[in-house]
Amino acid sequence: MDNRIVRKSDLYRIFWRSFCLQAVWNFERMQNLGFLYTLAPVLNKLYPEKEQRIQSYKRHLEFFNTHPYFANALAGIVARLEEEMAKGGEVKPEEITTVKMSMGGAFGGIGDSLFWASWRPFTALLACVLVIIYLKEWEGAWLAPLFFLLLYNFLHFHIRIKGVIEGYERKTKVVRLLKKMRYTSTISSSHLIGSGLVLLAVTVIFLRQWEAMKSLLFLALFLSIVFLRRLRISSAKLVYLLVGICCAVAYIF
Amino acid sequence: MIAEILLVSFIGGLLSLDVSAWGQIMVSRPIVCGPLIGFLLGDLKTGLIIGALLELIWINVISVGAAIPPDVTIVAVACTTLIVLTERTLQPVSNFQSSYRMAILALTMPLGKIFGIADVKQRKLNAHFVHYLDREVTKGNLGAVGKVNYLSIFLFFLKGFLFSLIAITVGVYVLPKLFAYLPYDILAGLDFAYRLLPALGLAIAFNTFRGL
Repeated sequence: MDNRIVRKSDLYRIFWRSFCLQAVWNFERMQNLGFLYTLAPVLNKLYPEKEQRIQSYKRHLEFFNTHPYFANALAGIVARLEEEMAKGGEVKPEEITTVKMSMGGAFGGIGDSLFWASWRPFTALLACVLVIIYLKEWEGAWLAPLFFLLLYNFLHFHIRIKGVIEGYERKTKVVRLLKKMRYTSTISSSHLIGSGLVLLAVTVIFLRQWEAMKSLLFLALFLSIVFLRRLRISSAKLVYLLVGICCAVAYIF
Repeated sequence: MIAEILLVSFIGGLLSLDVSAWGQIMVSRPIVCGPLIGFLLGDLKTGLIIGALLELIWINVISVGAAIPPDVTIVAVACTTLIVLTERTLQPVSNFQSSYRMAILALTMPLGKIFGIADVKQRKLNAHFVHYLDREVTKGNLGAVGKVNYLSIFLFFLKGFLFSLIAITVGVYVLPKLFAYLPYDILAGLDFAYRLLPALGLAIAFNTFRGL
């Protein structure tokens, strides 16, 4: 175990560099350059010979795409595989490419549904509901965005740091990390609690706002959009529709 | 005011990096950058309201794979700035405050789409960087990887900075003149739409959570 070339400090360098993963995102090979940039310190250390180093750089210039947070787990895995290969192990370059492709796709799907479609909307909604409920009575409503950032990034940084370290330690078995996080139940419970929060906010506004007529209109608009979900009207169009209808009504009466 | 516009555009450029080029620690979401811009311009409360409204309206915007959704950051920055700055100049006639807010919101929302188009252009251009690096790496110039990375981040920043600067400058000069022409009926309609906007946002949020 002690003949490792990659030290913990190198893994932390991967972690810091991983924030630039999508800096040169392009339609042709997507995150390839970002991934190479993330991995560069490790490659430089593993391949002191220039020719080998050039070859390793070229390998990682190939197509790569995954969820930006989970790229760290892959960077950890690839760092380990590259190290084994540099030390003359039986790992082949093609094997590294295959791992990058297959796990990149899988992590991409998981990350999209966990972070983009669940955790971020949920934490953002929590902050919005706090703002809606407390804006009038409480001076500290500005803490809500801060709370959002802390709560969201808790899971985000956890994935980034754990991803590199566990990916390096356990290679492809890093998937267990996800199992331990119970990400499916995180997704479903955030959806459930999210819907509940929306209903809570609607009730609060309904009970305290304006005269009865306008409260009813508020509720009617909410329900009609909820029931019109199947039409899949984009958010921007809904806003323009609302403005148009309101202006037309104001013009007629 | 010019110093304020420059400052806000600078911050807007930095925040727009967070969308994809650097970080993704979500300071680019409207719920964060609305209050931040409001705070910088001395009106935190307005920033919070606009940020929360835009966040709810666009809570379902996600970038999956290669699809580029409308950029919510630039809209939140431009919208909050324009609302705070125009409310300052229009202070005496504040009867229609919420009408003006609604109008600015509706007028700045297309900016996200336009910015998205610019984004697609830049990402196509980035492919040239990749080809350039293909050649440089073969030649043995490995330091070019880092340099191209930093250059690209700077270009992303420049795009956000210039875009917010132009949008805000144009808006600050055009919007007060435009508002003078709005008839009473339209103003009343806008006022009512602004009051109903939370219902729309909450309904979109509800749909987002129910549909996944």
